[in-house]
Amino acid sequence: MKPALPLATFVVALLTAGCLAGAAVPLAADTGPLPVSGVETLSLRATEYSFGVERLEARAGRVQFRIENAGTQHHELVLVPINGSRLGMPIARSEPLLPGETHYVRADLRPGKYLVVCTQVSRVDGGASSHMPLGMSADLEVTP
Amino acid sequence: MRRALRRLRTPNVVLAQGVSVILAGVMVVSVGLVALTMMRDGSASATRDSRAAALAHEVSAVATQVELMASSWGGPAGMRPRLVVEAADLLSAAEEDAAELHRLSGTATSLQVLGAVRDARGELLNYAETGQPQDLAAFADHVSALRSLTAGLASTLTASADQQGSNLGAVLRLAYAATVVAMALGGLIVGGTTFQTSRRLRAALMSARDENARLAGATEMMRRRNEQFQALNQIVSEITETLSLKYVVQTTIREARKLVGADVVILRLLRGDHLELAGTLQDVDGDVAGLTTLKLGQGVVGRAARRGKALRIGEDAEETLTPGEGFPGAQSGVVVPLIVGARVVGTLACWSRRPNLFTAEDQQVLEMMASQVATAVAAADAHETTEHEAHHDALTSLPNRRQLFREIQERFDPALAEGRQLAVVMVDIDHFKRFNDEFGHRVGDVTLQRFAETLRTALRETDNVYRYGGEEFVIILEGLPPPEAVHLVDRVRQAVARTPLVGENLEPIGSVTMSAGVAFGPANAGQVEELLRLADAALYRAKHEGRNRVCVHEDGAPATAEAA
Repeated sequence: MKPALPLATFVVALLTAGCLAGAAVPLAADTGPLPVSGVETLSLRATEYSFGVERLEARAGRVQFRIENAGTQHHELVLVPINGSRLGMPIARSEPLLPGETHYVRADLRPGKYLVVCTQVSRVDGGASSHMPLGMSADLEVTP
Repeated sequence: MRRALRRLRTPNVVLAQGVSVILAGVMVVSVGLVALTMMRDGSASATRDSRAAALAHEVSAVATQVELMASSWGGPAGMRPRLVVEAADLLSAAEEDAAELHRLSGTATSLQVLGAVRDARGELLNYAETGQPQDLAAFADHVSALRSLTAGLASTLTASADQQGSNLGAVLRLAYAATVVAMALGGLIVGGTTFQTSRRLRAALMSARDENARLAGATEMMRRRNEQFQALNQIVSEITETLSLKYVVQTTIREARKLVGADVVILRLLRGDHLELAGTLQDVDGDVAGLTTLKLGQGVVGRAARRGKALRIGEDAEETLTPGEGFPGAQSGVVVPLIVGARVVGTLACWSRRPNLFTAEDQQVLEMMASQVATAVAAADAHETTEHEAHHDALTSLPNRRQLFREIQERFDPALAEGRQLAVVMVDIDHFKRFNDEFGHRVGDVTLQRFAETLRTALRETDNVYRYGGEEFVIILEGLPPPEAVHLVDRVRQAVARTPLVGENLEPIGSVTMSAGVAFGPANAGQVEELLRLADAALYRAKHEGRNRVCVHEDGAPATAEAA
């Protein structure tokens, strides 16, 4: 009866693996310097190195992000779906914004968890780092 | 009753045995099937990580390579449009790799890599537009960040792929164990099924292993290339900070040997139409003493220099070595020209005793290195030539008057102050003006060269000779008692008188003679400049007393040696 324990482990492991296998489906997105009316709008204010918010919520459907660069360096908005423990491919991305610029990014979002980040790179402490680990990251939860 | 019982029990026992065998068999087959599924998953996962690791190494290598290119744009050559286009192409390809890397890996780091590579490309295009140094610096920062991000990710993924690979082995061992158990239970059908499963397992594992081995090979290659580029980067930053030719040459050949694992590395510099040895480094007991200066176009090295193209020896038997360019026993080699702009300034040759050691990648890395170090080598060479020219006489190659006074200050005066013995000698060629008028300036120049040569060969290696001006020379002898010093100077005088000279048409024109005045420190004076003055006075006396003689300043005492 020895193989029983490994067998059970395999079955459990298999089920777990199956659950994690969901893949990200790229969605349509558009960006530009002008807003669109009648769409739920989420505002972010980029500085060094924060979006001003850490958690965002929205209803599923078309969502518009207003990103204002209130900092002194280039910043951007990159929207990434979270699939379990993995990050998917970016589904929307603004242009890198110069200080003072404001940009709108629109995307059709399905319910789920997303991450809003800035992956621009800056000189930090003699080296250089992406803005994301410095604090430019916000969670977005999209409800049905 | 007993019989009945026995009859009843026997089929029961058989039934129980059969059921248990079937149950055990089913269980074993299940284990096998689950193991197969696991292994497929595990194999896919290991394959995914290996592939991701290879991509990360690739992106990292591109970052290092581009960083290397960018490091040369800050130099005197400035931005090179061809290289900017090349770097932009490399970054575009890296962007695709980074996208696939993120698709496979899905981590915060892989997302940052994807962003960083786009960002770096944007900065490059910006710099290409403006050409401003601060934009180049910004681009360099971005590329450097990209490199460190990917390097970290690559090592994590490589470790993970290795771990997955070893897990696969464990699953296979379990599947084999299941087969053995099934066979032992004796259930033929069950055993057969398990055996089938096991065979499928083995086949699947073999293909997974092959795939993993292939990817591990690719990852290893990428890692090595990446390391090579990083080493290159290190060399370039090391040598661009110095203008010492010797250091640049030594660093270059040392690192070149490390990069490609050569036994002997030889760097030659082009002077006129000759490739002169600048430095060698050997790893084996090869005899590199026989290395010679090569003419442009002579041998593989000369041809590589003339064509400005790298040549690899070993694969095509057409390329053969000329004596004096490699070392005896060299079986393979690669020669890359050092090119600055469109001008070949030298060659870097790597040789090995092993046949076909050098690959196309090695050649590529060396070419990359050569293109980077060539500028540094040329700059250091030019710097040293200028330095040499400033302190040496162009005609005789002897150190000049400026160098003499520098050395007086730096070496000789301090030596005198310490009480060391110095003999300062003023030398003049007798009737040189008349000689010049008679045979012409060209013969006069050749004579000065021959004279300088004679001085150098007649003196010891540690003695110091300077061209003071015109036909005047200064010799400074260290640590010799006065009688021996005078003896040595007189030997020089005799050597000069014995040296036959030739005229414009190589006809013999006899020889010249010299007069010399000697003063001794610290006996006569405590300063070399004062000794020079005293020696000059002694020289004047030698001239006055009939020339071709050596006079010593001895508180007005007469000459000690005269014409033979």
